[in-house]
Amino acid sequence: MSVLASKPYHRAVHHVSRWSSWYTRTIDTEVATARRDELASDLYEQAISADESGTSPRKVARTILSRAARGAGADLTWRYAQRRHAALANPASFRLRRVEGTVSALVLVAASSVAGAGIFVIIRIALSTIGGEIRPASETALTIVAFTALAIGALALLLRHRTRVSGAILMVLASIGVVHFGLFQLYSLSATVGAMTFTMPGWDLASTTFIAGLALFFTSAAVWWWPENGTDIVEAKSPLTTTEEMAP
Amino acid sequence: MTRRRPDTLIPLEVDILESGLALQASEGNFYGFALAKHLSEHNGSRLTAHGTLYKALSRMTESGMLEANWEDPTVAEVERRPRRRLYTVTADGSLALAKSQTETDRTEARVPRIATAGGSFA
Repeated sequence: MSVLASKPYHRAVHHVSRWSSWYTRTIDTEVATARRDELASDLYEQAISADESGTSPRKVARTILSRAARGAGADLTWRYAQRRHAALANPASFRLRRVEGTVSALVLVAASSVAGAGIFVIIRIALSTIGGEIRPASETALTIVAFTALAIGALALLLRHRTRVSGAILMVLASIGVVHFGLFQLYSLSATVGAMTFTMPGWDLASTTFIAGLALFFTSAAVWWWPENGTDIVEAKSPLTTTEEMAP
Repeated sequence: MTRRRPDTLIPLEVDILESGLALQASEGNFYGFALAKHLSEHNGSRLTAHGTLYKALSRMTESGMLEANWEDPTVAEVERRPRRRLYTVTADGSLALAKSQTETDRTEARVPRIATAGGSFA
């Protein structure tokens, strides 16, 4: 059986294709296409050479995967160099990317904190329920669970470039719900929050301002990421189809 | 980490230029896998990793040691295969290799003298 038509070879090509699509994403389209085309040619020539020398398809597949794995570090440093080269050629784009990176990091930290706060309150509710301090499955507790689940879902959406606008919008709702109902629940569960509510002047104003600030922050992120602001980043997705198309 | 001087070659670049010149002498030019195969047969090593090979080729092309051109697509179509990126070693590449070989010869000439002067460690 020809190596080109064998399953192990196709599987190896598929893995290398996915890897090359990943490390050539968001770099100059021409450079990325050239790299993937050159790799497609290399994989094809290796299969032909293996057929000529009588090497088994499994061994060829192993060699291909080994070559890809051994070169992964060089692929990543090449990617870094390409991105740096592009950034130096276009300082405005480089600055925009840095701002993008900072905004993303801040939003993820804030969203993780909201989700973490929700989980913390749920743990406190669970411990107090087990201790018999509060009745199980109260409306407030269920509301907090729902908003925490919403916060975790929003966080998952924020992690993906394509869904981060939806994530930020959902996070507006989730942050209002988690912080508002969380503080309300902690008022009866936590001595610290209870004491602060009674002794700290302007507690209501502070907590309302904090909630409004969070909502405004996530709204701003959604506006900043609205598709018109994010169209400059092109995702390279074309796989090494050339080699597979060439296979009989 | 020390940065290497721009005019010095790393061992892989020396190997690429040597193998490239050998392939160029017989075929007129060379492409990625042919080079990897030649390097492997010549050095008795495994096939060079994709990332290592193509990163080096890209760097050497940018620095002017190699010239790269895509093969005529009709040739690839007739032979029913992906088109190759064809490389040739430039005059600058040959010069860099000659310089590197002279440098290596000088270093090798110095080493035996030190070894002889140092005598035995036993």
